[in-house]
Amino acid sequence: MRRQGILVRRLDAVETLGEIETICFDKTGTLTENRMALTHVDVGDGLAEPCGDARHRRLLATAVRASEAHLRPDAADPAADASGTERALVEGARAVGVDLEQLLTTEPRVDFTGRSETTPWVVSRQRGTDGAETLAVKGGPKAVLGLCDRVDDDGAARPLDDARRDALARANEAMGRRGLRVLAVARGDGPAAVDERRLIWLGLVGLADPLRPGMEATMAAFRRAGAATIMITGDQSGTAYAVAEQLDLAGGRPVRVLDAGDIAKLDRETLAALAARTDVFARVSPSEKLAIVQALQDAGRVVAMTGDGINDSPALKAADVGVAMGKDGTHAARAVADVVLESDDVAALEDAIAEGRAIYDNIQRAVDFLVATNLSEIGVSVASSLAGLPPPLTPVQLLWLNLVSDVAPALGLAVEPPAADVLARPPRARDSVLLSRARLARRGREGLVMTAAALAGQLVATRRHGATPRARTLTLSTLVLAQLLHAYSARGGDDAPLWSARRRPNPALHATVLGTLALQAVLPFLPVGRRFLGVVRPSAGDALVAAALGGASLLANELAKIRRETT
Amino acid sequence: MRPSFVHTAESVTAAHPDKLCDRISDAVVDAYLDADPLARVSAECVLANGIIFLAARFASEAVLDLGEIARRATLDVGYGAPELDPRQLSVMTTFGTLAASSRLARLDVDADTVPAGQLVTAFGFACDETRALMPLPIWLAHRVARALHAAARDRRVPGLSPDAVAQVAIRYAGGAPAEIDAVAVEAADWRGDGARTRGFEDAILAEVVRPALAAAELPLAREAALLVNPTGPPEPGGPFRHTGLTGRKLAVDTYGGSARHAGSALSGKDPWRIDRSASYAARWAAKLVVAAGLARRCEVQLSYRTDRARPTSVEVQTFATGERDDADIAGRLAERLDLRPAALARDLGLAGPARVRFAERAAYGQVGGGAPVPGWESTSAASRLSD
Repeated sequence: MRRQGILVRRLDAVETLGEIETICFDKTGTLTENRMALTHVDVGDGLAEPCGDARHRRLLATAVRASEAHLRPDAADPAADASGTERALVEGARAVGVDLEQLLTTEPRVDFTGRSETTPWVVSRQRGTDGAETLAVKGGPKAVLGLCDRVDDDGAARPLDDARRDALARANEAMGRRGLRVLAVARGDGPAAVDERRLIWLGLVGLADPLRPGMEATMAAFRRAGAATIMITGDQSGTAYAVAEQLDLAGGRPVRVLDAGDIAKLDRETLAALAARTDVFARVSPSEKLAIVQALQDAGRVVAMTGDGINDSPALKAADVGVAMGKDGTHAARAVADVVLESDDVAALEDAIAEGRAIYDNIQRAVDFLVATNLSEIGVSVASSLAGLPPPLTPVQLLWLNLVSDVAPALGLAVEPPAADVLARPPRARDSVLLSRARLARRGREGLVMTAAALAGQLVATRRHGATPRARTLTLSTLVLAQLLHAYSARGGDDAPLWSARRRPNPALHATVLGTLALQAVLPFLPVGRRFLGVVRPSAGDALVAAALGGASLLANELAKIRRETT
Repeated sequence: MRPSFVHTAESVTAAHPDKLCDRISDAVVDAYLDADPLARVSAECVLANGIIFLAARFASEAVLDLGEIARRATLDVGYGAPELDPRQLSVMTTFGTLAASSRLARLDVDADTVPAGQLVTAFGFACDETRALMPLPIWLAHRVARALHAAARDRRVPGLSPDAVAQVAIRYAGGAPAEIDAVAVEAADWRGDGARTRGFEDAILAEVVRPALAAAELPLAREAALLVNPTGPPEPGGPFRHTGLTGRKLAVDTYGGSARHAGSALSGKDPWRIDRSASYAARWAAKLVVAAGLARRCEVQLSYRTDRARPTSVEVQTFATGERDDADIAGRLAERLDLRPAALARDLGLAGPARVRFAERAAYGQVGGGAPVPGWESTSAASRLSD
């Protein structure tokens, strides 16, 4: 998994990953990019995405003029040394076609006043081509609104009446409720426009930490895999709802948001009952994440939790699988996490879950195979002794069966690639066992079928050759073949015959089966093999009988799966 | 002449969990309309164990902090530390969307183009028992409940919880209220049992109940019972003690059982919901009839059909107090009042910039209230009904 950028710090976490029923995502840094970007503007006609509109361009050009960044227009990142907000503004302005170079050369800056505690705005003074000085102002919307007496209306300045002021204040609140960082932009004619409160309002810019691309599909993939997706955020409920809608977090049904006020004060049972029905935990402080993880666990869920901050550590530790972001994550978070996503991309968790489920599936296959084949050997020995027949196999032959034809295909089964539907089925129940009573019964029946094939081989062989090494050779060959072919039965699982499921190729299984088969076929032709195994060169007829009986055993076991499927 | 009988009406304070749910639901409607005058919204609220379950369905771009709205409403009705700190309340919000097409294009639409959208029969009532043209029992119950709430807020009765219930039983004789037969108040002492003394009940009686009853200008019956916590004091705790549900106090919202009312909740619905506006409209019409002197008691029944703007029937019952016969009065109402949903939203002040604040009217009767007089309590259109 290393190559997908997943670092597993605790080995058994891989298996637990396959059982995950609920994944809690920390919004900031996990679902979002953890950097600011310009997402909205408001130039007086409602919230809009920034575009090439002339009014948008004028707004953003002025915002960039009033930038605290030391701009290098020719650089790839023209505001590399500035804060995230400033960089986002410059980037946003460039994206809608504002020419930074022209901006700086035609109207060079004469003076710049930064913000202070009493003046939450910045003022840039520049000289135009006609020598007249203009101001570009950017800052907190309420404060900047107080400096304005007019509002820009497509280049012209109109007086700012009370109704207009109220509308602008409401626009600011509306942006704030969306969880945006909001700045107002204004321009002024003449150097004294700020002091005289004669600025002209241009509009609002809203910045946010955007969602990572592809998150909606990733959330859908987790849900398809039977894992509920939960978002944990410090945002208020309305903002959180808007994000959840964007992510389609609830898969189309109404989104349930819990704004718990004080989670610690809720009693544990109540919180567990609520948590099990919640899509979004809003207004959560980092220290409350632990309570959320525990509540989900109290509700009986197997919980994965993502996080990156020091504050997330307790929750990451408490979760069944704690997932830390590798790139931006703190050392503390990484240290307690079970899984570290080096690429910071939660989509990698999909692979991890698939891997976890595949590992369990493969353990299941190998166990299924080993139990059935061993039972078949016991069956052969017990049945022939009960029937008063001579021992069908020598001790060395039994050892050979156990060491080679059992073990090699099991190794092949252990590296079976994940099934195509591994992420399209619900997680395995936590209390499920490898060898349930029903499974054991099926293994017993499969073992009996193989036993029957071997005994039939023995019967045919004794008929043809008497109780001779030749007969034992045929019995052994039949059983080895039946067992090797059974590897394919075990590979297909219990639910459908092997020909109905399309599976990804598993060359290792083919190699182990063919290799063992070749060994079994070649040994009788080598003196050392004959001496060691006590076998003889089989006739073509014997080989045919062994092949037919081995094939029949596989067929019988697969047909039984069909019957189970239809009943 | 009707024989003597007793009618009991109950009111609860704004802090009663059922009423708090109504207020929260209406605060959500108000907030959406503030942010987006054309928003469609419906909000329902359940309150249990100090957890607010708030289901909001809306067609609007507005993004609102519903948790904060719910806590604000809880604070507004008088809860606070130490009894109940609204900040501790958990709010479980279920956000759903309504079809965007349900939104109106603008406020000044042609009222004929806005059908009722629902099959509804609503009732309204008015009578001359009080100046507000409301039945006396519920009117008096509201006065007592208001007085209880005010006393709790001003801390005039130490320990009085803002969550209280007031019941008033009025004896009628000859069809008119004759005397106050009984009053019962249920009010918790949030200081708990330790500090509680009999003085608590006496203080409520002296400070709250008796002054409130004086307003009725009605004698107390010779054997009148004025009871405070007759079955023992309730446990304090408001929403932590008992549950609340939007729309469960319809008799409190309307006529206290003195007249019929429709079964659907009023609170939590936007002005375009005919099951809300028709109830106000029916009260408006009934009050106009009494105010115009056409009858002393009047019940108006309005029926709307999903696909039509105008009501499919306007029925009037004046209980043999009418100056004209009922059919004549009903005809005047149908002809002279504009009862189409969009017209009601506009004329009764339900929508638009000067609209009523629903949250402020959630308690003490959604009809019959004043200050400021809402559109459906205004009698300025009474002259339209005269000859």
